[in-house]
Amino acid sequence: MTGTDAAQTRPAATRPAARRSLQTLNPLATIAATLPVIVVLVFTRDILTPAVFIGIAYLLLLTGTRMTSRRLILLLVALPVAAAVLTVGFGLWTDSSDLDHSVELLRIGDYRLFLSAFEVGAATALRLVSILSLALLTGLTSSGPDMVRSAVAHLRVPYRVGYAALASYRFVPRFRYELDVIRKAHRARGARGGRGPIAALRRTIGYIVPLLASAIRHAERVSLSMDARAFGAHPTRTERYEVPLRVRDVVFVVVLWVVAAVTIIGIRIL
Amino acid sequence: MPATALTLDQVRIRHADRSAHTPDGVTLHVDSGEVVLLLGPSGCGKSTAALAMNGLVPHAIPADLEGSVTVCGVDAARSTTAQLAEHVAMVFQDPDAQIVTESVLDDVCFALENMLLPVDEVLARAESALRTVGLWHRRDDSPDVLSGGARQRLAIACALAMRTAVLVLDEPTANLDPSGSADVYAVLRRVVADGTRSVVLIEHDVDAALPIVDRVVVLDREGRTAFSGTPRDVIAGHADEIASLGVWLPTATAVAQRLASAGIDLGTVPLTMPELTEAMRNTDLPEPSVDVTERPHGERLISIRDLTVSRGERTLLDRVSLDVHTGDFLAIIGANGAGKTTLIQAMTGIARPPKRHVELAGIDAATRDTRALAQRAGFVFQNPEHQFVANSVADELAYGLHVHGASSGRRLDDAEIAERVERMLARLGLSEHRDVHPFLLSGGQKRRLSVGTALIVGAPILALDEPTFGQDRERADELMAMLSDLRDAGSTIIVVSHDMQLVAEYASRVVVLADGAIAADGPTGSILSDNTLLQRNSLRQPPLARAMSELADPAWHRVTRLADLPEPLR
Amino acid sequence: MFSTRLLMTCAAIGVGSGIVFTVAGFVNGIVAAAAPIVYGLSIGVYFLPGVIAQSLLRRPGVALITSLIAGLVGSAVNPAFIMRYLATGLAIGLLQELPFAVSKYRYWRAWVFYVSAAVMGVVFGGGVFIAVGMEHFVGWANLVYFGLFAVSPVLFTWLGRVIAAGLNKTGVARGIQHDVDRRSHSSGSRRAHPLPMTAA
Ligand SMILES: Nc1ncnc2c1ncn2[C@@H]1O[C@H](COP(=O)(O)OP(=O)(O)OP(=O)(O)O)[C@@H](O)[C@H]1O
Ligand SMILES: Nc1ncnc2c1ncn2[C@@H]1O[C@H](COP(=O)(O)OP(=O)(O)OP(=O)(O)O)[C@@H](O)[C@H]1O
Ligand SMILES: [Mg+2]
Ligand SMILES: [Mg+2]
Repeated sequence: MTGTDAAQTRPAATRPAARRSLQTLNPLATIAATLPVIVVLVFTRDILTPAVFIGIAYLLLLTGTRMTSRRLILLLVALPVAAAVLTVGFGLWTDSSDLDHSVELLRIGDYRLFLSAFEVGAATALRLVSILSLALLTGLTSSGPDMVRSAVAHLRVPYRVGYAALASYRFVPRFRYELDVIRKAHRARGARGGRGPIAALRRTIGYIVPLLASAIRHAERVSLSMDARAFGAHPTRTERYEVPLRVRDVVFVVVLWVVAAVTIIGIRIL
Repeated sequence: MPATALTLDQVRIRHADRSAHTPDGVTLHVDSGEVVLLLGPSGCGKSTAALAMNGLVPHAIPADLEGSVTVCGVDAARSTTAQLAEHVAMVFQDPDAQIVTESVLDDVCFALENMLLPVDEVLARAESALRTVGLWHRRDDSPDVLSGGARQRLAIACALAMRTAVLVLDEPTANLDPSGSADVYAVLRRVVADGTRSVVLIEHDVDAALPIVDRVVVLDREGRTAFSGTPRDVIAGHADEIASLGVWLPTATAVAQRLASAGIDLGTVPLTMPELTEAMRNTDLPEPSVDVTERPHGERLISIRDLTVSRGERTLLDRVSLDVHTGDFLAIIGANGAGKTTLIQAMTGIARPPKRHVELAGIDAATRDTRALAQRAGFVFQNPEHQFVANSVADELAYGLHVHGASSGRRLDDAEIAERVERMLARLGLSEHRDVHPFLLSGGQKRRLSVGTALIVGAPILALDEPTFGQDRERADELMAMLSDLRDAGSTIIVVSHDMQLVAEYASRVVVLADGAIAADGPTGSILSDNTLLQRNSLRQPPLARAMSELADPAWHRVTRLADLPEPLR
Repeated sequence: MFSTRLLMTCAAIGVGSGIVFTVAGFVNGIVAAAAPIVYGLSIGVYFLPGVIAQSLLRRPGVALITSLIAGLVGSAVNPAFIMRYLATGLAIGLLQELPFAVSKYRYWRAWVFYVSAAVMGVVFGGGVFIAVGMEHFVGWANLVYFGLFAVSPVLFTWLGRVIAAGLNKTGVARGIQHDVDRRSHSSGSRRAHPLPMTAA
């Protein structure tokens, strides 16, 4: 009886049903796979390398993760727009004194804008976008809590720290509520009002301390309740939600590394 | 002879930075399977003593502890709270602060996982605990969507699942409405039924608690054990002393005391309402003289027209129209979530209402001029901590005087402010805590301070959201008397309360809210005698009215207030 | 060595500043695109959680934990960027531990905060310098760009210390704080309140 109930009561996040391939990976695997690539990308200066990795990341993201309309907008609208804006932004700022001056786009008085400056800008923009899209492989396939559990299980992060982090998720909505209440309290007490941005700024700063103080106060009570419930009684605790490292995680990491190495070396040789 | 589950021997606790010991010598033995009710005036150290029972004081909360605390043979001073959790489970007052995880089931499992139980055992215990409190069908829900009462039952389930020998509950129903707290007591009754668990219960609502307790322990003002014994021995034997400590008596006992002072001897000391009715039936009673004169309405002070308040999809208030007149003592009642807080905050401008729907003493309550607002209406929040803006009790009181000056608007000099603050401190019984940070007061002290901050400005309207919860009798009486005096002096009082007896005693007018709309509005007597109306709104008649309605003489049915009982003899 | 109360206090500070992160994240994006040269000015916000925790609690590890939790919570609002937030939290938290680890966490005077904030700003700016590749900027721009990276953490360190001083007055951290200066002459016994740790 208990066994079947146990299966039924798993929250949706850990239910194996209907998950896309990348989402079954351990969050640590996606980090391990992408981190070295990101580090290498930081030091590239060309346009092709980041472009290829953006392609690889998009391929994985679009086929391997659950797409919602928000995510599609992020990938297909927000990031391209960001890349364009960054290209222009960096392009305008780039010091072109020792760049190729063959194609001049614009001349205003002393200021001359060259196509080559935009190439530098584009390289920078693509580099940032490629780093971001690889990081999205982790971001879109795993949740914060899974990451925390995984870090506790496999990275020797003390579980007390991990659980403090998990419990802190509950503070987020509370902050909104507390802010609302504090605003009311100041209103009730006739605290300095006034319009305009300066009054608003002063008010906001006046809210920060009471807000944090009541959050800490709340945190203290939660900690009493946690202690009273045997938190930290033993060096380990029973874990009902496993986030195992499996063969497929290792395969994913190795394959991505190999692909990355081949790509980078390939581009250098060609 | 049953084994002792919990012993406090001459325990004295002094919080860090405090000079006095609270409690100052509490001695308490709880046998296994026994249910003990711990009573005492506000600030005497009941909560502190409770925290010492599983070592949170002094391990997590810095304090000096003398004397010894022994739980199931283990010395609490020598083991950690986490180790003591094998023997003691706790339920605190604030349900929100006891939720650690994102789902009901996970939360119950939290302690069990910490105790390193195997997964099967964890789930089996969690299920049985959730079934006991009636939340098994909501196991996958987020605790956020539970009502206050249900959240507190969840906290009890978390404690039950640990299957400890001792269960300590510190005012588990203080934040709940009558039906939520009735649910919690229904659960507690089931929990203590088999007599295997020792329970220490701290509770101001003696009427609710008495039916399940085996023994009552009363602490005096210093937090020393004053009386200990069966409820009958302690309460019947020491009713006067307990009352003079400022501790709530059961309503029935309080009524009998009042009758006795009027020369009517019931022959026994009743503890429950049925006992009271029974005793009164067997006694010759004079005709009560119920004063039903109503005060004339003053002029219109607050006028609300078609006020609708919504948040996102939800409509919290639905086309409410209401007038409040000078000198009214208005009580707003209704089930949890009916919109009482929303209404009282909108009508006093605390939460800005939509423009031109609420007129407050000549200004639109939606104004941005908070000084003008605060000069017209003082507000006491449901949770007192929410309104503290200063770093010490005295500064907290001085704050309003600094901002507003005297009620005439004249600026006050420092000496005048200091003098007024001193007077208010004395009136609130907080003189010795003047330099303490408001957050560090006991629950009841915080409540009094929050009322004081509103009083000291001297606004003509005073609005209070749940002014008496968590208060001992003396303080609650004192507070209500203070409000009555203010009203006699021309102030207008608006309260939100779940305490029907309090509403009956003091309010001149009652508004019943249901789902954001006004379900009834009228003189207190007529609303509180309408039992069908009350029940439809998950409310109950005040205990006194309920008891009196059982009497044969219809003249007594109109008695709803202690003040309606025969006058004490000189 | 961390009591639950200490951990949860860090969590609360982390969550509070994590919410600031998410707001700052948007602003940063805009700034980075529109005027990359003043990007450094906004970077200091990531120093807030650690500074508040350290100035308030003065204990080892609090900056790291608080920063990480701030990153985690920042990413709860915006899960796609979890890597960015976590990496920032981890990096800055670790950097903030260093200057105090040198004194074995016994010395917490204000100047240590400010000097290390300036140094860390430059270090951090250097990292971003490589990633963004500002080597193409004209000289004065480099100066402004780097300067702001150094100034911004100092600015936010000041802000964080103001907030921490306010919190200190509310007494919420009583019993889990350590002294500003616990070097040998004052010895460990001068802690504000001796507090036996709950569970190791
Ligand atoms: N954390 C703390 N630090 C310092 N003083 C405290 C702390 N908690 C409580 N006190 C003080 O200790 C005394 C006893 O407080 P406690 O909360 O135990 O009272 P109580 O009997 O539970 O009162 P109430 O019925 O109002 O809840 C009070 O004077 C209070 O101001
Ligand atoms: N900002 C908000 N957003 C959404 N819903 C809200 C908000 N504030 C309050 N509510 C909901 O509106 C309803 C009315 O709230 P309100 O606090 O006025 O009730 P109440 O009658 O005071 O209840 P209680 O007796 O519990 O204090 C509740 O169901 C509450 O959950
Ligand atoms: Mg208490
Ligand atoms: Mg309310």
